[in-house]
Amino acid sequence: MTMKLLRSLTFLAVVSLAVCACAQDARPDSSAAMSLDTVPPAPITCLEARDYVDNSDAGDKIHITWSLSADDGGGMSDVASYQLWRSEGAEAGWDSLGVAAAGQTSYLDETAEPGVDYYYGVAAFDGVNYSEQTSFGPVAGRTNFFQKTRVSVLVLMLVFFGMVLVFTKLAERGADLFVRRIPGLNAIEEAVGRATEMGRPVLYVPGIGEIDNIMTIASLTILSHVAKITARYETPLIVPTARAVVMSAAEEVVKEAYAAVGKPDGYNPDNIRYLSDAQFAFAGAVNGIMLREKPAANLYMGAFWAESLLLAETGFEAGAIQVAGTAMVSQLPFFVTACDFTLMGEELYAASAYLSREPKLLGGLKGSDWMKVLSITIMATGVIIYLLNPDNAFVAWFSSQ
Amino acid sequence: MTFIWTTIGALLTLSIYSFLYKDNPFYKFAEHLVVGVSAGYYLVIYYFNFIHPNVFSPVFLLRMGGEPIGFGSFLWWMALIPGLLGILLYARFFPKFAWVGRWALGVYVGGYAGLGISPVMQARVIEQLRANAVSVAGVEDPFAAMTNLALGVVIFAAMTYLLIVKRNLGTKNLLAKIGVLLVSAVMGYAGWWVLSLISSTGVVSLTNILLVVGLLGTLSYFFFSMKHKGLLGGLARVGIAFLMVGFGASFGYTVMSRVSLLIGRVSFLLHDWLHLID
Amino acid sequence: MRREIPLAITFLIGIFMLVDFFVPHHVVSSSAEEMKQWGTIIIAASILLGVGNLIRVHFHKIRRRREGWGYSITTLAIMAIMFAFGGPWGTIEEGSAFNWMFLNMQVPLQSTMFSLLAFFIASAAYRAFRLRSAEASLLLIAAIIVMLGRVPLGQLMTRSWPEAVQLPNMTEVIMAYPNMAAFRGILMGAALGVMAMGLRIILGIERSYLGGEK
Repeated sequence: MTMKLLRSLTFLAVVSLAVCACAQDARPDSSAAMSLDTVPPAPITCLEARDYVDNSDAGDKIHITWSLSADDGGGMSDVASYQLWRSEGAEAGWDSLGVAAAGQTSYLDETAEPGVDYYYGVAAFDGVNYSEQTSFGPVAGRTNFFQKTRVSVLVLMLVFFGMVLVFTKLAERGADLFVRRIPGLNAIEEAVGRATEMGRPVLYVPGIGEIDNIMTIASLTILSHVAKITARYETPLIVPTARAVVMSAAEEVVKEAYAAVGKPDGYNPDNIRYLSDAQFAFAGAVNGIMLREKPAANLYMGAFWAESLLLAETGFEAGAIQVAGTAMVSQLPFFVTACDFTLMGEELYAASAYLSREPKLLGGLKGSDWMKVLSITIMATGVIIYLLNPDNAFVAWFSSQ
Repeated sequence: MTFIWTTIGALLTLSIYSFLYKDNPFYKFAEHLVVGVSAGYYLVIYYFNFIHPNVFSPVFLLRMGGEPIGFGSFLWWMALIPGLLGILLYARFFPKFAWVGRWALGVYVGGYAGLGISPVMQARVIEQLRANAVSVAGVEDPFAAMTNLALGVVIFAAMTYLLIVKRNLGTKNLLAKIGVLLVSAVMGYAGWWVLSLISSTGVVSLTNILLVVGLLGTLSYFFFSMKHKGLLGGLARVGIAFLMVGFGASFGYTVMSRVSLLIGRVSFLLHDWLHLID
Repeated sequence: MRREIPLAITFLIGIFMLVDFFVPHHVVSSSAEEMKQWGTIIIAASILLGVGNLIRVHFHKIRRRREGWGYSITTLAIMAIMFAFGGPWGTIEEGSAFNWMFLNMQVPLQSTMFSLLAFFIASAAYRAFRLRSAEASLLLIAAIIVMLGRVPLGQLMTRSWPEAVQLPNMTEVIMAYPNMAAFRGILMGAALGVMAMGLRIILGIERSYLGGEK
């Protein structure tokens, strides 16, 4: 029995050595084991290096694996660590790459240049001596042209874009697309009307988002509409901004709106103001405008952060009609409590389509409605499929991103 | 010296608080001061942090990231082009050429529009759907999960009906309103309690039903291409109910953090400035 | 031409950045990084437009002696001082006058303004109570439960109640479920809005940000 076990173990050891086919010099004579400090540990075996593929694979990672030195855990049991080297050619010099602790059998090189052929060398270290170095190569990090884990994102995006474009085309051909009433929008017109009756200005705050923020762009579209109304009513429109680029875009938008309704002279450049990039300096200055220039209608449309409540509460105290619109989830509660009407989330984006009544924009709304239906369907299907078989390929496909 | 600066900071702090009483010269001064300080600050900081290291220094062949840079090299062009785009913005100062400023805007807005789309699809649509589906399906017993889905739909329908028929709890009398609030809170929680007893049998997970109903309702509210009447109208009302609970919750959640900001300023005044408290 | 060139730029760069998400290839990802860098440079350069506007508006106010013109002098003067201390010839290191002014003027003013929210959130809560609809009542009830559930007082008040209705537990349930469901709904809806708008920008359908036709 014991013999059988011994034999099979020996057999296994021989086979594994043969399969690896990377045997280096024979182990140092074990008789030398007594004089510790002069005997290097046994070299590692089975060294391999491969291109490492992960979610954000840019080809800069190479995964190196090996089998432990015979003296790590067994033999003289004196391996302290493994030293790794890297070289850019079989004949080029070796550069130190890193150290792996004893007992470790892998190392991830994250500093590779994509496409460069590398050679890797690994040696065991016992604190004094290095073992014979084992080498492997060449290997190069390949960078991929498509991240396969993101197929689900791509597919859904294309489906969504497809729906938007189809409905846009339909709308251009004259199909009648219904869009429900958005209560906050009608309130805008009423608010401007009231300001006109009272002979007081309208304040339009396009948020403190940069112009790269889609909310800011939606806000500029709404601003164009508001400016046309104020131009017609000859009511002053004050637009304070926190970003210089937004300020210059707002200038263009308002100027053009005044020209479009035939009142180019009504445009006052001093009313489009850059106040401050600093969040609360901006909020403080807008509060000042509310109290001193006494706008009768305050419109807040765009991306807002903590300053939302500072503005909305001051505006309320000053007795203005207030309409807000933002997709910042964290600020909606404050606008909802302090303003007369609030465009919530997608309503802000929908507003620009609704106001323009341009078929092109209405098509987008229809597309995103269908996307909602599709989303719910996907979710329900996902749940049911998952319950029937948690390892289902659809679930895996959908979950990987 | 430090005391003088702290005193300035403290006086400015008090000036801002005076706004709570009403607009006054101190507040006006502080407000105009901070606008001026921040304008000067950003003018300088933007130059030193972005323009100088990334444009000015490499273009004039000084250095980039400590490395020398060659005239006409790739890096040199990569510093020159955005610098030129930035200068194009100043074309606004000359109305005749203002339109070239749009090139810079095109690069910036187009770039970020493209950059934003896919992560939004990933993080805010797919990931949310997945998370919702996982919490619904995540119960061990498939039967229970199916029951959740079905019950979710039933409760949803019932709430929809109730909200269509019983449109408004509102009343003008303050006492009556408090009464309605209390009664509805008590009734809501009593119902919740009964349901949670049922759910402790393990067949039904109430919380997951809430997730299903809430998401369906909210998405219905954001449905634009149909009139909110009939079924959709009911769904949307359920959605509004959930939105309001959500807003209330995050409102309540924020209160403490705002109070702690105030505590921070008060401790600046009493401790750092007046040394009244330790 | 004045319209087409910027729209073509927007289209090309937009598509490139859209693709970047799906392509891990280093050539694409490093170009995308470079583009982002360009964005920050453009924004940094734009500050001059903002400051130009600020100077113009306040200068007009002073020249026409409009109400509060004295304060405009404060703004312009302090900005000039800040610039003089920190400008290209100055220093912005720790301990410099520029840094002192930032730390002792801008920082306390900003954080004080931020802390005003403690008062404003209270008045907003009071306002919520005066709203008259069923929906507003829901908001109020949820707000009160969560607010109390997060402080020791709420825990003390409901210590002896059944577990399901103790305030901290109710808070947890409200935050994790109805609140979560509603926010997921808003996020998803808004995400669709963002994507549709982004597509329209790239395709040049949405061009309000570019301003006038001329």
